[in-house]
Amino acid sequence: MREGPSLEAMMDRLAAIPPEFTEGMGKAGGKKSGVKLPALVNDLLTDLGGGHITPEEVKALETSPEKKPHLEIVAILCHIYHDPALRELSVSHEKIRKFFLSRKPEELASCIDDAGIFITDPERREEICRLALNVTGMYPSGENEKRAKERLATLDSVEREKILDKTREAQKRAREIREAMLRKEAEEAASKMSRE
Amino acid sequence: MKQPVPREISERIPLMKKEWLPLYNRMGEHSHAPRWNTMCGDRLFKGDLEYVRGFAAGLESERTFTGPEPSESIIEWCESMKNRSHWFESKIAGLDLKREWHLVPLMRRSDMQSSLEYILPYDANLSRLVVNPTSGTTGHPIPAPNHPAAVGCYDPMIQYALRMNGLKSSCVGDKVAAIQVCSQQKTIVYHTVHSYLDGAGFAKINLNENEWRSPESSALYIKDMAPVFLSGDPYSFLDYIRRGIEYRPGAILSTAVTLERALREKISGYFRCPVVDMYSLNETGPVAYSCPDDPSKYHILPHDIYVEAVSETGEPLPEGEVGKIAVSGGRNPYLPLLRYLTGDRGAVSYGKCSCGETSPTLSSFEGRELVLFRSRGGGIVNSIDISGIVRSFPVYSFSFLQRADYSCILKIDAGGEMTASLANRMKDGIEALFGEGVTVEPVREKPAAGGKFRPFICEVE
Repeated sequence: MREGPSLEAMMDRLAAIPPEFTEGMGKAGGKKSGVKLPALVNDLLTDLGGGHITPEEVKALETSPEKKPHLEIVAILCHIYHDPALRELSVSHEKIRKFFLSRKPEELASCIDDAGIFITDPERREEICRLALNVTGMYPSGENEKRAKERLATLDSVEREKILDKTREAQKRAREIREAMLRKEAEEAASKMSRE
Repeated sequence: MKQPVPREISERIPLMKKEWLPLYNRMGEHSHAPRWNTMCGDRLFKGDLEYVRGFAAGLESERTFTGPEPSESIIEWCESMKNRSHWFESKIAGLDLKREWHLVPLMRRSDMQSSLEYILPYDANLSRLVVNPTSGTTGHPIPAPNHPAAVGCYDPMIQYALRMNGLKSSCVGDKVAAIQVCSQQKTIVYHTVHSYLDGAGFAKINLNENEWRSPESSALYIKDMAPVFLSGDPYSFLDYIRRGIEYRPGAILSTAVTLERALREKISGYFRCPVVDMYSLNETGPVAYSCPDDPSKYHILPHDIYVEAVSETGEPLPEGEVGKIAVSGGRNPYLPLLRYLTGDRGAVSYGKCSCGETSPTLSSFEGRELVLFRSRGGGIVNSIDISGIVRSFPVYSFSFLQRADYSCILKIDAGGEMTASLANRMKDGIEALFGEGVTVEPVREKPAAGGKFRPFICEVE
């Protein structure tokens, strides 16, 4: 991995994302104006030196009501990757293409109700910027690989969902522990020669 | 044919040997033995005993304390706990522990009450869990889960602290290693033998005369058992002295509350043997023992904990500066500690002591105080008896004040499960300790934050 741009600058830039990136989503192809995601992705990839997107890829990026948050996340990522600071560092268009068509944006979407949270919420904004860097083999300037990975793991929405599942398990565990403690408090302890 | 080990004993002392039975029975059936009210054993199996022996070897050989920073082994242990405890996972993720230890959030007593399920490793098998009662001298009656093997490690630690303070006699084999002396209105009393000490005996007794067959029984029993050392809280030793019990052991081990200088001198003058004050909490196990050369200082006892003095915000303080004591590490598989605030204060310093100890030193220590209350008739009520009653109710923390006019205020912090009728039962129980003419008023109020928390205050002259 190599050092990338400043995370703070990326987050500031994302906070100022033009509203069309998310507001227009779902209207492409209709009468009203809006972001055409395949065109957006195509522009990004070609700007970064890659080839045009294929008809299959266009199909995968075409919107439908159930895919809306997922594709909005891809639109936000397009904005992030259009950052001149990143383009100067020659980010890999191949890695970005693979990432956009992977299950990751969909998994992220399954954890949220509205993709706008990746813009409005500081933690989620940090998460998506770190994720964008991580995918292209970079970590924020001033950090190291270990620190960046662990911080991303802390912010990771998908992991957080898993932790929530674990929390539900923990609640079950809490009941077990409380029951065991009550039962054992009523029983004899293990002998020790001092008291506390 | 020799008698086999009775089942009620082998259930509690799984490694009990037939040859340990004579001592066990002598302790239990002595004509002046107290009225035992429970049975108890070390609950150690073969694997546990091997663990305790391994710990004991490490206690002697791994006393390589580096300096103010946490050791490699503590950091490795924390990293390993990250995969086993939600608490560790959430508190240290993304931190470079070696460089950023000061950023690790502090663990508090209230966390143990409210978030035990997050602290306790999720793969821990609860079948071996034991809960040792606490004397409750901190005002936070935390029922801490423990494991027999971790409790078993108390023995080598106690032996180490006593030996460093000059105890020459062995505590191993066919003899009574210790008697724990209590002076309470009510407590559990039992006799047992410890496998780690190759069947040496141990008894927990209560000096309260109601527990004995005759007024002389306690003195006669202790004399005949001839324990190598006596353990107890300072008040119980004062009661021992007041009763004129003549037996003098090879050492005194004082725990539960801090042994203040005047008390130490009194106890030391009476027993004429090494007097060791051990700083130990139910949640942490033994932390430190008093230095033989300067008993106002304490040396860190186990090699597998990291003790630091921290500021209110968790910043480690420079060597010698007094702050809150935080403990990390340990060996209790049900209670891994990560910068756990003990509620006590002190300064930590490093370097070899004149006594030969190489572990860090706690100085300017402000631990739990011995506070005694008064009944109208001039009798003494031990704060441990008050704690014993409070702890049987769903109370998070409490403080108890006796005013100069003998009336008492019990401030409690509790949840909705603490109903008015339960509060009344608690009040009645405590009033009964004092007898006629002393009222106890329970008040719902969180203990004041900041500074040193004093759970017990007595204003009676």
